[in-house]
Amino acid sequence: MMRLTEDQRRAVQSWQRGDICVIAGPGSGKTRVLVERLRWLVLERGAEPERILAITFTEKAALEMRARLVGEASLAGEPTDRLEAVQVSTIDAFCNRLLREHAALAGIDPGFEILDEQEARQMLNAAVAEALDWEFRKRNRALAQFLQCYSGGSSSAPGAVLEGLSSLATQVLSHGRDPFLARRKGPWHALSRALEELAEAKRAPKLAATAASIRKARVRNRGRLGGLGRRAASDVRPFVRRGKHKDLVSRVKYELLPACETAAAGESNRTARACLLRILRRALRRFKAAKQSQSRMDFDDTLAQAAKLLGSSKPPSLGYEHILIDEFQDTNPLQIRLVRRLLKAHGPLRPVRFVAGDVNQSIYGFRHAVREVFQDYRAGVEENGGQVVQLLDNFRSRPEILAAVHRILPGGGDSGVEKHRLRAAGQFPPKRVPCVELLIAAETGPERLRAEGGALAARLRSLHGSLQVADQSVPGGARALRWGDVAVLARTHAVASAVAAQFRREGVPCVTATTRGLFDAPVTAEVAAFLRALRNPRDEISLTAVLKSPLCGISDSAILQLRLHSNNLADSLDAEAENTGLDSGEALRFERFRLEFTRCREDRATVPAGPLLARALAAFGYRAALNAGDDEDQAADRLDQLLDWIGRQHMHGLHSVSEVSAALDTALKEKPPAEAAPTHGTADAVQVLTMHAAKGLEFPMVALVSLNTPVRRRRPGMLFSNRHGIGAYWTTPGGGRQPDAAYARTVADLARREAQEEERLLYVAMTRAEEHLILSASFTGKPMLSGWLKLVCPGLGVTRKSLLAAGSGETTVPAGNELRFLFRKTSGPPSQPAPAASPLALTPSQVLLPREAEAQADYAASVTSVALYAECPRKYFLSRYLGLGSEEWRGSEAREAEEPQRHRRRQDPDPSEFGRLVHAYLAGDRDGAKPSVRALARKFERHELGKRASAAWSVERETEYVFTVGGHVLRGIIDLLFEDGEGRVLVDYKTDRRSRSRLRESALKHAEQLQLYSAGLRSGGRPVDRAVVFYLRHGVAVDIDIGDAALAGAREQVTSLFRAQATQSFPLREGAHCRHCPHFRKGCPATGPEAVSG
Amino acid sequence: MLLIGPPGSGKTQRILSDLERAVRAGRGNEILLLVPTASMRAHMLSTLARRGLMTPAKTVTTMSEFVTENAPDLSEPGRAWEDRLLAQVLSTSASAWLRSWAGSARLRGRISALMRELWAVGADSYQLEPAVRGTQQSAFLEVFREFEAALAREGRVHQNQRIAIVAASLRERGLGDVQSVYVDGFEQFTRQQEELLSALQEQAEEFVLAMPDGLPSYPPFSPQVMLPPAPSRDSARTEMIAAPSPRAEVLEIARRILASGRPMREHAVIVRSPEKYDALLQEVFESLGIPHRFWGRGPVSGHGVARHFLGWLRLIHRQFPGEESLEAITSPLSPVASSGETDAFDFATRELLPGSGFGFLDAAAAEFPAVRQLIGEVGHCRHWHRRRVGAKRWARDCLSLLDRIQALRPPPEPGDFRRTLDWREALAARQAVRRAIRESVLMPDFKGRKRPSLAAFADAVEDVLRTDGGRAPDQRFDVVHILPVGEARQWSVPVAFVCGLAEGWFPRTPSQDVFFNDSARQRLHSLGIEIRTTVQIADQERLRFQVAASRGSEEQVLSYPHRDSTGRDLQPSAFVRGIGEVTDCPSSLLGCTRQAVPPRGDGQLPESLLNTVAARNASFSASGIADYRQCPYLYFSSNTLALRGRPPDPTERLDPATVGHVVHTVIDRWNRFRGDIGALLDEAFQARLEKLHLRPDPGTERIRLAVRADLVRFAGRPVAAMALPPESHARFEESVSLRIDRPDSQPLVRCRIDRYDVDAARRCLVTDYKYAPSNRVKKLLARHLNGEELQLALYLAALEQGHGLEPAGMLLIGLRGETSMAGASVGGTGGLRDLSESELKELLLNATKEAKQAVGDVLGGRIAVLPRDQSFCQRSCQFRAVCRVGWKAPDARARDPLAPT
Ligand code: SF4
Repeated sequence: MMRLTEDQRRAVQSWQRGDICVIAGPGSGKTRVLVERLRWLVLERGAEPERILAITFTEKAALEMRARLVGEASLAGEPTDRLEAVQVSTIDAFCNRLLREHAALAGIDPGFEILDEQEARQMLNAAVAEALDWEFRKRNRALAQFLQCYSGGSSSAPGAVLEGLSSLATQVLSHGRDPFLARRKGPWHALSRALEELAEAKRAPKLAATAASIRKARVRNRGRLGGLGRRAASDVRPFVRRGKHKDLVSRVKYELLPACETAAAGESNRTARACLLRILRRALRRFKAAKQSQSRMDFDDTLAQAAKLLGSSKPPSLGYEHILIDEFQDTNPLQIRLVRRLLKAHGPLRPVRFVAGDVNQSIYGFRHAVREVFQDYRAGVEENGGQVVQLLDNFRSRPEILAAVHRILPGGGDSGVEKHRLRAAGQFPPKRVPCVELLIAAETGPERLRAEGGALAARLRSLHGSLQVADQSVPGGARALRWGDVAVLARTHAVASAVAAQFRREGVPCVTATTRGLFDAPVTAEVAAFLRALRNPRDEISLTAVLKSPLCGISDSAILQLRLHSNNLADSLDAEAENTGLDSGEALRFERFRLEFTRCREDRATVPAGPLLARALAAFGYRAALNAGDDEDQAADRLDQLLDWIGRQHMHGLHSVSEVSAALDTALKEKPPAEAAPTHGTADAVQVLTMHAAKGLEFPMVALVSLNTPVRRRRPGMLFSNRHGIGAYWTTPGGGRQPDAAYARTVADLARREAQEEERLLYVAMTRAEEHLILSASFTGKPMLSGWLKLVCPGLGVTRKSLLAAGSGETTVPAGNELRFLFRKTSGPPSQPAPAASPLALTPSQVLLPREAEAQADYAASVTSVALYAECPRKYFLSRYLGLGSEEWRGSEAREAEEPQRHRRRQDPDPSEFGRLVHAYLAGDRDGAKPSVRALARKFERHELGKRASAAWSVERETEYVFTVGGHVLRGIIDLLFEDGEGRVLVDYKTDRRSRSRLRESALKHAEQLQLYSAGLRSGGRPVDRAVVFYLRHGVAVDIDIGDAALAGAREQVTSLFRAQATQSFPLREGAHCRHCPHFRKGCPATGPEAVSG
Repeated sequence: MLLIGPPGSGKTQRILSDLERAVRAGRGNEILLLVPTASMRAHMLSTLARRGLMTPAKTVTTMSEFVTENAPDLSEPGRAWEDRLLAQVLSTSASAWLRSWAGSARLRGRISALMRELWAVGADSYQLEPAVRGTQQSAFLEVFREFEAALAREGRVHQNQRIAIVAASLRERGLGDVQSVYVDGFEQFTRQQEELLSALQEQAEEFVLAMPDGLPSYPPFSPQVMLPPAPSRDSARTEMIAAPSPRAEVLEIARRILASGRPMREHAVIVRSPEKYDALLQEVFESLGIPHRFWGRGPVSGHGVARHFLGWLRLIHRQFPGEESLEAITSPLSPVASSGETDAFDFATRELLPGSGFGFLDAAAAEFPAVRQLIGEVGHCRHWHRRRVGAKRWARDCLSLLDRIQALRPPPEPGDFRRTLDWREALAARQAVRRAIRESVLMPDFKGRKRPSLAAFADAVEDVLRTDGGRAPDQRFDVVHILPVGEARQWSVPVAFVCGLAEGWFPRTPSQDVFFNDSARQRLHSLGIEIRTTVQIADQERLRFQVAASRGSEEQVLSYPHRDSTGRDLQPSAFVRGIGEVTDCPSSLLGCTRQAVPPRGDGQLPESLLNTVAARNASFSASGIADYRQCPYLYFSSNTLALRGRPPDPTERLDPATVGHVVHTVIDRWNRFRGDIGALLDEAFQARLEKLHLRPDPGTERIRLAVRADLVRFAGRPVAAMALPPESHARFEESVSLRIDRPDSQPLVRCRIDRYDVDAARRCLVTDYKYAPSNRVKKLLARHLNGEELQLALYLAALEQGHGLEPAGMLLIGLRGETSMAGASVGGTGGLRDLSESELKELLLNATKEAKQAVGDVLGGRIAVLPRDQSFCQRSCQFRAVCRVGWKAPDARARDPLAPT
C-alpha cells in the first residue's frame, strides 16, 4: 500500500455513524482514497463486503475501481475473494439490479430491457405525433388556436410543431418533474396579499386599490391581470429595500411580481397553452404505455422506478452498512432522490455515507446535474457533525500550471468556480522553459481553425523529442516528449475534427474518437445513394450519383446518352436496352457496373445490408478510389465508421437494404451525433478529444484549442424548467414572434448556468495537464475578446492591445511570482509543412488485398449424391447441392394451374415411402407391418442370401457409415453387411417395379453405390468378397463387379463429383429421364431432345 | 474411468485412437462416443473417416440424439412449444404481477432458464418449496409447480426427465451390442445426465469420461486418471495483440490469415460475443474474399426469406398498411420481381401514400398487371385479420400463401459460386419456414377446438423459427471456422484466434438471477439444490477461456480492442492481464484488386451531343436561367438531363415552393375577382392537398393558418396600389416571351409575370409576390438592383420587346409575417426607391446580355460545376451528390497505389 497523506488517511479511515464528505480537487488521489477506503473497511474493519455499496459515475470508472481494488490486494498478497464481493457499480447498474430483484414489489417485468437513446427518441416522437393527431381529430378549434399562436422555430415545415413538442417532451422527461402540478392558487393570490400588507405598512392607498383590483380580477376577469401586474410594479417601484419591511419589499419586487409576469404571459395564450399541455400529457402517457407494453425502460425510468420502490410503504430491506458515492457533483435530481430514498430505506440503522466530489469539476449540467446538491450536502454534513475532508494536495501538475489555473480562474463571486487553492504536491525534476504557453494564431478569416491547428502542429513538432517529461521508469527520471504524451482538448466535436484534420495534413499523428461529420462525408452520401438506388433505381438522382461515383465512374456525356435512350434512366439498366453511343471504355465500365448492380438488387432481400455492401464495394473497387484520394478527408476511415454504424443497425433489428437505407436517410437528415472508434493504432499519437471526454484523465502535455470560440446553442421553440414551467415562442398579432416570460426567464437561467459551467469546464481541462499546458486560440481582431480568452488574457495579464501589437514570434512573460509563460503569436497562413510521412502510413504488407472468391468443395457428400451426379450432374446440382426440393416448385405449379387442388391425388401410394417401410422391416422393425411389406421382405428371407445372413457371425443392417473414398468423406447407409464362413457380403435391396429382363441393366446403375461401400470397407481393412443388388419383387440377386478396375471407376466418380463442386461445373445430361425430373422445364434449362417430348 | 487433463493434453486424441482400433477390427458397433453438440459429432466423424476408417455413424452420437433414440416414445417439447405452454400457465397464474407480464417473452425466457437450471440439478417444485422466501420467489414456485403439472397433463416430459427415464431403462435393458462407452467434450452434467452416465458405466465393459482439469466439481467416477499437460502444447506460440477498435482487430486477424499462406481450414476464430463480432467478421471476410463458416448462426427468423414471409402475415393482419405492403410486394422475393414492374409500381404508389388497405393497393395496381395478379391471388386474405379457424387450416393456408407470395426464380447457373451459396441458404430458410408452419399446429394453445387468430398463428411460426437453430447447412471444407466459444471444445486447428478479450465481453459480467440471487442460491445449496452462483459462473467463464485459448496447435492469437465500435473505452479482460507482452497491432487497410475508376467532371459536353442538348432545350424559363447562373451543372441535371428523384414522403410534399405556388394562385384569383381572401385560400389549399394525396393534419393546418393570417393581413393593405397612379391597369399571371438573338436559332425565354401595371403613358411596373418575410424581400431587391438576380429585369425586357411597353420599375411584395414591400421605379413614387431611367435601361440591358450568355453556354454544352452561391449547395440543391461539389475527387492520375500492376 502506498503512503497516504494525512488528509487522505483522515478520509480513508473515518469511522463514525455519520456522513463523510470528501472534497477532492483534481489530481488529489480521489480514486485512491476510495479504493483504500474499501480495502480498509473490508480487510481491516472487517465489514461485510455484501453490505458495502460503491457508486461510480461511469461504467469505466467502476471497472477500473474494481480492477484496482482486487489488483492491488493480490499484488500485496492479500486475499481477494472478499474484496471481489464488494458491489462497485454505476447508479444505473445498481437500479437495474435492484429492480430486477424486486420486480414483484415494483410490479414490473423483471426481464425489462434498457431502451437506448435512438429508440427512445423514435418512440417518443411517435407518441407525440399520435397525441397531436388525436387532438387534431377531437378538439379542432383549440388546436387551431395553438397552431396559430405557436411560432417556435422559424421553420414553416409541416413537421416543425411536432419537432418542438418532441423536444419539449424530452425536456420535461429529463427534469423528472410533472409539469402539470400547477400551483393551485397561483402567484396572484400571494401577490394581492403581499401588496395589501405592504400598502398597510407603507400607508399607500393606491397600492391597496391595486391589490383589491387584482383580488377581484383573479376571480372575474383574468384577462386584466397582466395590466394590473404592470400597475402594481409601478406602484411598488418607489419602495426601497430597507428598514423594517425590507423582506416584504424584496419578496414583492423580486419574487412575486416576476412570477405574476410569467403567469400573465401564460394567460394571454391560455387556450393555446391548455391545448399544448393536453397534447403533452397525452403524449407522455402514450410514451409510457408504449414502453410498458414492450417492457422497456430508459435510464430515467429505472431511476424513477427504483426511487419509487424504495419510497414505497414496504420497501425492500437492503442492509447496506456503507454507501460510497463518487463524483457526487455530477448527480442529477433524479439520482439524488434515489440516493435519499436509498438511505431512508434502511430504517433506524443508517448506513455510513461517504461522498466524494468537487464542485469545481461539475460539468454535466447539460445532463441536468445540479452542483448545488453537493454544496447542500456538504453544509448538511458540517451541520450534523459529520466529517468534511478537503483534499487539496495536487500530485498531478507542476506548480506553474496550478498557478496559471489560479490566476485564470480565481473563483468566488459570480464565477462558476468555487474559491479554493490547490497545493502543488507532486515531485518534478527542474525545468527551465516555461510550462504554460499562450499560442495565438493571428488569422481572422474562415480559415481560422486551420491556421490555429497549423500553428499548434508546428509548435508540437518543435517540442516533440526535445521537451523533457518525467518518467520514473527510465534512468534519470525523464525522457523526451512523445506524441502519445500529448492530448489536445477541444470544446466541441466539430473543433476536434477540424484540428485533427489539420494535424493529419501536417503529418502529426493523431487519433480522435469523434465522427462528427460522418453524415456529411462524401463517402456516406455515396453509400446512401447506392442503397437508395438499390431500393429503386428509378430514383434517377441517386442512380446518377452512383453512376458518377467511383462505383461506376462514367462521364456526364455518357449519362446524357443513356438518358436519351430511356424514359427513365433506370431503363438503361435492363439488359435488353441497347446502350449504343457510349464509347467503348464507358460502355465497358457501364456494363461491369450494370451486372454487379443487378446482382446486388436481386440479393437485397436475402443478404443483409452489411455483407452485401462489403461484397459490392469490393467488386466495384471502391476502396481503391478512396485509398487513392487525399487522406485528409480520411475517406477510408469514414467508410469503416459508416460500415460500423450499419453493423450497429443490426442490433436495432434493421438488416435488409431497404431498412438500413431508410435509417441512413433519416440519419442524413437529422445528423445524430455518432461516435466511433478510431481505426488507427494508438501506439504513439496525439489524442484529440473533447473536454468532456477528458474528464478523469491526465496527460503530460495538454493543449486547449480554439479558446476564443464561444459555444453557440440553438434553443428549441419550447422550453421547460422546473422553476418557470413551460415557455414558448408565440406569434404576435402583427405577424412577429415573441417568447413568453417563462421562455425568456428559462433562457436567462440557462445562460447563467451555462456560463458558470463553461468556467468549470476550463478548470477541468486545464487541470488535466501534468507538465506542460498550451492555451491556443486564434485572435479574430474583433473589438472584444471572445470565449474563454475573456478569462485567459486578463488572467495572464495580456491585454487586447498587446495581442494586436505583438508581432509574430515568442516572448517569455513573467506573470506574478510563480508563473512565467510563453506568449507566441503566429500570423499568416499555416506554413506549408514538408509532406511528412505520417508515422501511421501503412506498409504494403499491412494492406489487405482481397482474394477472388472461389468455388469450394463440401467436406462430405452422400453416396446417393454420387449416384445422382452420375445420372445427371445438373439434377444433382439442383436437388442436392442447392437443396431445391420438388416442394419448392409446387408454388409455380399452383400459379400455373387454375385450381391447385385438382391435381393432388391423395390415395396414390408413395413408392419411396413403401421402400422405406420394406427396408425398415428388413432391418428388424417389424411392428405392425402391412402384409404387402411383409410379403416382399419374405422374398429375401427365403432366398439363399437371406438364409446365410440370418446364420452369419456378424450382421449389420441399415447402418449409416462415414468413410473416405479417394480422400473425400462420404456418408451412406448400407442395407445389409454380413460375414460368415464363406466371406463378407454386401447387399442392397431394391423395391423397383422393373421388368425382369431389364434387371441387369438397372443393376449397373446401382453398382456404383456398392462399389463405393466396397472401396470404403477395403481401405478400412474389411474387404468384401461379394456385393449384390437384390430385387425384392423378383427375388433375384444380381452380383456387382467389385474388382479393382470397377472400384477405381467408382472412386473416379467421387473425385469428379468433388471436382465438379470445386469448379462449379454441372453440365446437363439430357435424356428420357428428364420427363421424371422435378426440375424439367422449371429450374433446368434443358429443352429436352425429341425423345423427351415424344 | 474419469480422465482429467488440461485443455490440449490429448484426451480426445486418446479416445480417437481407441475408436480407431475398434473400428479397424470391425467392432465399430460395439463402441459409443457421446459428445455434446452436433458440430462436434460431425467433426469427430470426419476426423475418423479421414483416418481411412469406415465408421458407423452411430458410433459418435450427441447426448440428446442418444436419448431420443433410446426413448422414441417420449417426445420432448420444442423450445417454442414449451414457451407457449409457459405463457398459458403465466396467464392463469395466481400472482397478479406475473399474470400482467405473461406476454413478455423476456420474462418467460428467464423463468424457463431457471426451471431448466433447477431440473438440471435434479430439483423439482416440491423440493424447492422449503427454500422459498418472499413474493418473487413464491410467485415463481407457483408457476414452476403449475408448469410441471401442465407438462404432465400434456403427456410430455422435459428433457431432464427424459434422460432420467432413459437411464433407468438402460439399467434394465442393457446396452445391446455396445461394449465401450466414451464421453468427451463436456464440462458439466445435469443430475440426470450423471445418472445416465452411471447407467452407462454399469452396463458397459469399458467406460471413459474425459473432462478438463480445474472444474469446480466432477461426477463421481473412478478411477480418476490425471493427464499431465502435454509437452507438445508448449510449442504452440501464444501472442497477445491489442487493436484500437474491433474492426482493426478483425482486420488484423484477416491480415494474419491471408499472410499465413496456410489453407483456410487451418484457421479458427473463436468468439465469445457473437453479437459484437459476427456481423463484423462476416463483412470484413466477405470484402476480402476469405471463405468462412459460422458454426452457430443466428436463428432462421433473421433470414430474409423468413422475414419476408412473416412480414406478409403481419401486414395481412394489420390490413395492408401502405408502406409496408409496398416493401413486401416489391421485394425481389415476390413473384412480381420477374415482371419488371416493381420499381415503377413502387414509385407510382408512393405518390399516393399515405394510404392503406387492400382496396388502396388494388387501385394502385390498376396499371400493373403482374402486381394486380399478385394482389388478386392474395385477395382472399383480406378478411383473414378477423378470421378464426383451426391451426391446421391456418397452416394449410399459410403454406399456400408462401408459394404465392414468394416466387422461386430460375436457380443460378452453376459457376456463380457466391450466388449458389446464397441460394443454398435461402432454400434452407424456406424449408425451415415450411417446417415451422407445420410445427406451429402443435402448439399447446392451438389444441382442441381452439381457433387462433392470424396474429397468434404468425407469432407461433415466428417463435418456432426463432428457436430453429438449423440455419443453412454450410458444408464447405476449406474455410476459416468461426466458432462460438461453446463449440470450440475438441477442436484443434493449427492457428486459432480468440477475439474480444475485453472486460465485460469475455468474461461476460455475470448478472444475478431475478428470482434467486446469490444469497438465495447459497440457501438452496444448504437444501442440496446446487445451482450455480455468479462466482461459479465466473469460474466456468475462466475455464471457457482456457479451452478457447488452447485450440491452436501451432499458434494462438489472443486479441482485444481498446475501444468498442462506438469509441467507448474498454479494459483488457482479466484473463489476459499478465499473460505476456501485448503488441499494439499495426493498422491495416483494406485494399482492392480492382482498379478504381476515378469520378470525372467533364465541364463540357462534346460537340456530338450539342444537337441533343438543343433538342432538349427548345425554350428557357426565367427560373431556368437563374438555375444556370447559380451553377451550369445544376441546369444540366435539372433541365437537360431532367433527373427525377424519389417521390417525396407525405411529410415533405408540402414544401415551401408548393406553399408559394398556392399563395400565388390565391393572390391571382383575388386580384381578379376579389372576395374573401381567406376563403379563397382555404379552397385552394384544400385542392392542393388533394392533388398531393394529403389529408389535413396538424402540420398542414399550421401552414394553412399561418398563410391565411398572412394573406388576410395582405388583403387589408393593398400596397401595390400606391406605386402607380390610380388610372393604371393591372394584368395578372400573364405569359410573355423574350426572344434571344442568336445566329443559329432564336430561343425564347418564357416569363410568367405575377402582375404588371400599365399606366396611360404605357409605362409598366412589374410586381412579384414572394411568400417571404420582409428582410428577405429587401435583400432580394438589392440583388435585383445590382444585377445578381435577373428575373424582374427580364420580365420588363420581355414586356418592352413583346408589348412595346416602357419599363418603369419593379416591385417585390413579401407576404410572410407583416406584409412588406420593396421596389424601385423611375420617379420612385409610393415608397419605391428612385431609379434613374438610364439605370433601369442598364439593368435591362445587362439582364438580356446575361440571359443570352446563359442560353449560349447551355447550348454550347457547358456543364461546369461552378456554384455561384456555395451555401445554396449545402442548403437546398438536390443534385449535390451528383455534381460532387466540394468533394475531393481523386484526380485521374492517382492510380490506386495498392493495386497489383
Ligand atoms: S431436366 Fe434433364 S437435364 Fe434437366 S436436370 Fe433434369 S435430368 Fe438433368
